[in-house]
Amino acid sequence: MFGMVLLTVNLVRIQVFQASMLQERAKGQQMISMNAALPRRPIVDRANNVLAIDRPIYTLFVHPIMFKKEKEAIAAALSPIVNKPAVELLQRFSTAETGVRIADSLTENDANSINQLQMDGMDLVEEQQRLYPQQDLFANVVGYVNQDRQGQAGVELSLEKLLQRPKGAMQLNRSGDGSIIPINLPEDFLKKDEQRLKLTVDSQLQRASQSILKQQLEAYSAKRGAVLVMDVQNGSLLTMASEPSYDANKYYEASPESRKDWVLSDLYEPGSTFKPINVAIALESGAAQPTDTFYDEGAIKVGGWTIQNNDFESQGGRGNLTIADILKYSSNVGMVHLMRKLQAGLYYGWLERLGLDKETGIDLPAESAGQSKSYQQFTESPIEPATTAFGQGLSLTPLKLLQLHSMIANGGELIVPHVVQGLYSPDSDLQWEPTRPQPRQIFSPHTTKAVLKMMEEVVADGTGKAAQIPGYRIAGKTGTSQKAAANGGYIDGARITSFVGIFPADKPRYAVLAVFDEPQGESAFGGTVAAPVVKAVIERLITLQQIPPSEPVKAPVEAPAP
Amino acid sequence: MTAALRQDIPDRRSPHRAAYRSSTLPNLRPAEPRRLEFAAFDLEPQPLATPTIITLPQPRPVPAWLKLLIKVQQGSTVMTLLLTGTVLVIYGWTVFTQQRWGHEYRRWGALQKHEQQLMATNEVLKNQMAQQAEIPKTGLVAPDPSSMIFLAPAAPRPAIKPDIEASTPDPLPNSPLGY
Repeated sequence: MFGMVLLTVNLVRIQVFQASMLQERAKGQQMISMNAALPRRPIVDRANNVLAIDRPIYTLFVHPIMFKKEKEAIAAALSPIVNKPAVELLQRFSTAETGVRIADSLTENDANSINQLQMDGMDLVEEQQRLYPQQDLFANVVGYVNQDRQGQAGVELSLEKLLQRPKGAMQLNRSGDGSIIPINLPEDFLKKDEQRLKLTVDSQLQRASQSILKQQLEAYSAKRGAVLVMDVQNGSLLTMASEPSYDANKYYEASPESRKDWVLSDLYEPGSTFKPINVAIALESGAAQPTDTFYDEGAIKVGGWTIQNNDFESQGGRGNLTIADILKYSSNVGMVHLMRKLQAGLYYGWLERLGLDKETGIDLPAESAGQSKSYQQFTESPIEPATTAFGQGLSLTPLKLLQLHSMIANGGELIVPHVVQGLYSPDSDLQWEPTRPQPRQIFSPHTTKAVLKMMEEVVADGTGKAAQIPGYRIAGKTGTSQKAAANGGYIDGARITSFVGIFPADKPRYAVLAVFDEPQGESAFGGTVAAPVVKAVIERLITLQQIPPSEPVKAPVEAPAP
Repeated sequence: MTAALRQDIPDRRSPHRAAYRSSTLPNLRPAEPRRLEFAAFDLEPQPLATPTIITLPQPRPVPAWLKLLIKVQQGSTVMTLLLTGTVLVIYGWTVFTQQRWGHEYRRWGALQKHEQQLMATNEVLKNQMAQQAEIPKTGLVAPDPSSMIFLAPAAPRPAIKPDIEASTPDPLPNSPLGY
């Protein structure tokens, strides 16, 4: 009886008086706040090849005070795993009692080996490290993350918020052996978000383009080069290869300048590749008809400046030329005459509509907007519309030029280039798509068709012959422009050669641009340096996308064997 | 006690109930000699004439409510035992499932890690293979449009009608007559 009374008293004491205190203690022991930072979303390409993925790495800390074995034995056991001499390890053991950092960036296998040693005093801290399996292939598109796992370039930077997934702190109950007690778990505890960011780029085409680019860069000792392939119907970029590139896993070894993507950020004067755009402006505004002819003197004087054709020294004036001929021979003087038919103010209005001084809106960071002269400057001095007529005097990025040519290819719509398709589940179901501005109709399909026909002749019969592929119709334009110096004027002997190809010309699907900065040699022109690159890239595109030929290929006539 | 209960049933035939009830011992025949067995009952041998009657306490009849209470108590004891057993079983099951949950959760985490590792390793291998393919020594060349064959699909052919007439099956061979 007395015992029961005592028990009851104790029960009351524990349940009622000490309740809150005991509950606090229990919570303190059981509850842990897990701040699960989920790994960053992987980035995949069009064909679901992984371009960026997180990998667990381990940092090894040791607590010498907890060592049960001899220090020498431990050092000898650890030395082959962490690749450090045992002597050095011994030295480090003696620096402090706890928390001695031994090695970082240990792989999963190394961590398992250390765990299998079953030695006390080892502490492996897990971290996630971003791995770029393609190394330097997509460094300009995907970018890289720094030590703090913040994106610094490319898609890693521009879509940082999408890629990072901080789950936030969770309150979990933990039992004595450290495992989680499945009580009061948050609802989405087991839900695994496996979405990956899908890009529009194609690994195979990018790799082929990069190797072709590298070969040509070496052949002409050019400073840098780029190849871009865009789908003209929706603006998705299949390839953005730019050399020189850097290994994204070891971004710190490259200089900060080389980590910028010059395709987006550097302006250059497009030169003759801008001529088809001007022709489209002239035709659309009604100032000229496709059948008009203009007289090409070879060299003229405008406002005190001499303007001459590229091949004036050798060819002289060509006389009456149709617009198609002007493009075929890439006649500067012809273009000046053509664009003179358009009033300067109207011409300027058209250039504004093209958005030359605006960014294209691609979902990559650090894009530069082009530069053009002011309205006053353009309308007052006649040399300005004249130089703009053959593509000098205005500057834009290679990407902008490609966007303008895609407009010619797709029937006059100014589309927004992009590299991101959206967030996809592992079963390739679209989960989220970025909102893009609607494309604007700038030219009519009638005009662009006419321009496209003229551009086909450039490849068939003009300066772009090096881009011909038997059986396929390709429209293109070469460009060889002088490089502008920083303080005005042009650098002597420094050129930028480019070629833009639209393919297939009957039903355009792709626009390919190849640009080379300062190729060396007298024979370094757009038609010799860049056009063969575009041809090789289009050939690869044909095999990858299995595009049938437009015309049956004539079998080569073989000479009878003697 | 049993003897007392037996006393419950009074002999209605006998008018002297009291005399009947008072005697607990079996009737002794007067002529019987005294036996030693009676010493086991711890009774002093009494003279036969007038045995003193010890009245044992009368058990009172158990009232109904008490009977009910006793039954309730017995029932509740059984229930308590059952419930305790069930509690122990359920508690054990809880601990067991939680342990299994923890075990499977750890396995799930390990599998996820393996999946991630496999993906990364796979991609690195793909990249290495592609890089090796570009070395001219391997003798691999990029595919060329001139080596591609495009086949136009044939025009749809009219469906072949199956032969409706079933051919007569082969007649069974005549069974040999020789055997």
